[in-house]
Amino acid sequence: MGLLRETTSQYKIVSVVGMAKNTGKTTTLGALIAEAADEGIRLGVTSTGRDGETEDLVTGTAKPRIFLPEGAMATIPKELYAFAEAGLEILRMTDYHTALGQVMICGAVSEGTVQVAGPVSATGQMGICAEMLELGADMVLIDGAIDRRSVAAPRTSDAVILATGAALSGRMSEVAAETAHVAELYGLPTLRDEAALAEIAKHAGEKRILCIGEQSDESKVLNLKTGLAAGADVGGAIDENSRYICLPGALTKGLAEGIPANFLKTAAFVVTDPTKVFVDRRAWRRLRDRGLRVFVLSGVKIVAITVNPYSPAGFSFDSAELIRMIGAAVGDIPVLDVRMRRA
Amino acid sequence: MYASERTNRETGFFDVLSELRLRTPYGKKRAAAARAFAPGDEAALEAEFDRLQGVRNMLAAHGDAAKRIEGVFDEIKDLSLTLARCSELVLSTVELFEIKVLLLRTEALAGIYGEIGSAMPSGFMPEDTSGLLDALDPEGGRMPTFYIYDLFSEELAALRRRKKEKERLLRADRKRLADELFAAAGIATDPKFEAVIARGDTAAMEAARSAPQLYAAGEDLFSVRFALAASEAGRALQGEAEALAAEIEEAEDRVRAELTCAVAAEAARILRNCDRIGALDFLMAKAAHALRHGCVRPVITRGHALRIEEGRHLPTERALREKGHAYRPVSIDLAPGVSCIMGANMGGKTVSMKLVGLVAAMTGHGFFVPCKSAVVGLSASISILIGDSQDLRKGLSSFGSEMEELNAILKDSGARALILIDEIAGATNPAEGRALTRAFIAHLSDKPYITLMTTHFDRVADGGTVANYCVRGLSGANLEDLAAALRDAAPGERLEAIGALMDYRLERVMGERDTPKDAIRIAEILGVNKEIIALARIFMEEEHADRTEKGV
Repeated sequence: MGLLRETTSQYKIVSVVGMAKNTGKTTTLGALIAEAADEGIRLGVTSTGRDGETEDLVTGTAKPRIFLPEGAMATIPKELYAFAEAGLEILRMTDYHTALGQVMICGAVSEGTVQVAGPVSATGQMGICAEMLELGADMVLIDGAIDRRSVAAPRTSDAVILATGAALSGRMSEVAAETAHVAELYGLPTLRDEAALAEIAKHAGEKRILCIGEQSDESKVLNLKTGLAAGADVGGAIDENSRYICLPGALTKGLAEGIPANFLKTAAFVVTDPTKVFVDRRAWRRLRDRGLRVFVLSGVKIVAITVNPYSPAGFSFDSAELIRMIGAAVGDIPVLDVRMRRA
Repeated sequence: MYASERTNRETGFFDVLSELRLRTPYGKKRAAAARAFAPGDEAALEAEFDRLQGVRNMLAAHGDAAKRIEGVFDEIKDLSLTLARCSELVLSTVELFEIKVLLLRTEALAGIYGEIGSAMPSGFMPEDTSGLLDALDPEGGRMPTFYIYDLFSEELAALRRRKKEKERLLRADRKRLADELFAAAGIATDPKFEAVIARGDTAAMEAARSAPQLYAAGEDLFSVRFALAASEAGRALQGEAEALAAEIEEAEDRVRAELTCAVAAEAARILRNCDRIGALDFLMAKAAHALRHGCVRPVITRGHALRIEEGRHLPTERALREKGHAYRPVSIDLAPGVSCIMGANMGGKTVSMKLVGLVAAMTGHGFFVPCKSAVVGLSASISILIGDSQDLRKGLSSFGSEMEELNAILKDSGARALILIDEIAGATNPAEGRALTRAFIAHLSDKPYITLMTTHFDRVADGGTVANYCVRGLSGANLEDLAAALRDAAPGERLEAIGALMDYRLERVMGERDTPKDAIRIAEILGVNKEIIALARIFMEEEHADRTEKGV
């Protein structure tokens, strides 16, 4: 499959993120771990929440425990250590805590299944990834929490593998469109305008909405902390000279729709990263048609999309057709079904 | 009780405690359990001061080593529960790991103490636990990692080897089956030896259904998941591997039980070492505090006394420094009986009183004190009575709550009490206030307490039985300079400017003397109408003459 071989050469930390529950995230993770073992890559595995449980508590569908090959590392909370089937050497007691106790970094002396959990905060995630790399991991895989894409922010991981599937919708075209929407957001362009970047850096600590004009003296800091429900206020504050509206927080549908139509074409939004865009697919399409442009300060690279054609509701799609449809919608991101071994 | 929470808060002793940088759970426990040295404990207190002095000297002379000690301290975990349990039940692998890491850190500390050599105060060197560490570290690598290693038990190692061999054979058997399947039917399986076949792929589906090696493990509308059936040999291997896994678990349990016994045999020693870590942690925090604030070792006397030379009330000093002002140290000499601090408003009387409480409390708890020098005879209790806005919020009048509290203090105080009273009856009418103050002084002057009162009332005490102190206030300041300095100051800064010019130092007043009349002066400096000031001076004269006539 070569998914890892391609990514490890470029990325040290990769998050696997599910678009919804039961989109096959854990299966994808298992496939990546198996591939790493085959390739001789020393992997570190962590999770943004407790994961690898034998059963998905919400829907009751079978969910494999994570199989750790010999030599791989994982973050294991104290309370879950005794449940591991793998032989785990405790390498370090970290300062991170979970509901299941302090998190330890363990190395598999003998292969077997384990239950992995790690810190929930983005700062904690970054810290524990750095510790595993320091202890000798070639690469770290983060089992991203289900439906919590915010933790896959660029602060935490270098690249993202997105898991999607039939759990999203009963209509294949809808699954493809929703997946493409997320892929489009993650693929938003990074701001390169040096003058604007300098202006943003200057006001970075203020946590206020910043309007950058054509000339540097036309910039103004709006006395608004967040974009939530601030659409009309921002709309009233910009004019034909405004080039960028820089948001310290989220870009919401209400905010974007509050911008007068003629200025939507001349002024672009800037958000810190793609996870800050909270605009649903249909509104996003409508706003894009009206000229909406959004830049990010740092992007998230989606290196692959994995599909799970099975839905916990009892139906499934034809895997090949689903892959074809999503592939057509997302462009050049590789799409595969790790269970069908088909790419 | 030595001192109430309120007293510890008002004197600033809580500030000192919260500023201590304790790094280990054992140091924190020790600080939390610390009791004050009572009269009669002087020898024990001197011994504590000797230790503190030794640690302070070590910090000053071996700063780098001290930093390394602190670095190890930061990593010390509280294992008292584990150590208490180890005689009753078998420790888990995680617990054994934590014990090993604690032993390694203790050993690291011993190494640093050794480097410091003779400058290291005695009594902190941990007892040797290398025997137990050897038992937990069969490889001898002294790495901070742990596992039930093969080296712990030959039996365990053999079992693990056998299980690994069975698994290898099992995998080879499956691999062979998978290869045969691929050769015969062209069906490839994944690493779990499964193949998911789409229903639409009728040829593959037909091949899979007719392949004897495969069975349908699950299916849905669009695909069927086939799994590789184990061979007879494979099933046997699987069963053997599972049986070995159970045996391995038992062997690991035996190793843990043996190691737990080894830990239990040394538990008391480990706990003693932890105690020493806690003691050093607490002393290093105290010593660092003393170095930061230029604190000195007080001279301890057997009698009840408090002699402070150039003392600084640390919270006030910090507040002034943050505003860019200097704190003028205060000296005072207190003996059993009543002493009064008299003086103008804004004169810092209360701060001087708090300083006395702080020096007494710090000495009592074995701290060096923020003074140039101090002679302290231990107090059995410290009480402070001071206006508190909290009581006002509760709805009590300030006078009422003050009287209730004073009552409680007088009732609870015994020999060698230190009682600090701020502006008693200051909020009621001056005539009654003065009368009450005089009565309290008369009552307290023959009690076996050291009482310090602040008052702005005139002549509440004669100079015979009561020692009077007076705040220098603005008496030494040049009024013209002051006025000039204030002319340019913004209205909001004027009070602060006066505060900065105030001389908070105390002067012993011999014989009778009125409190300094700074109030009218301050009003004048602040620019109150000249006619009002003149009138106030005339009224003062009249009242003074009036009182002299009546012989008050």
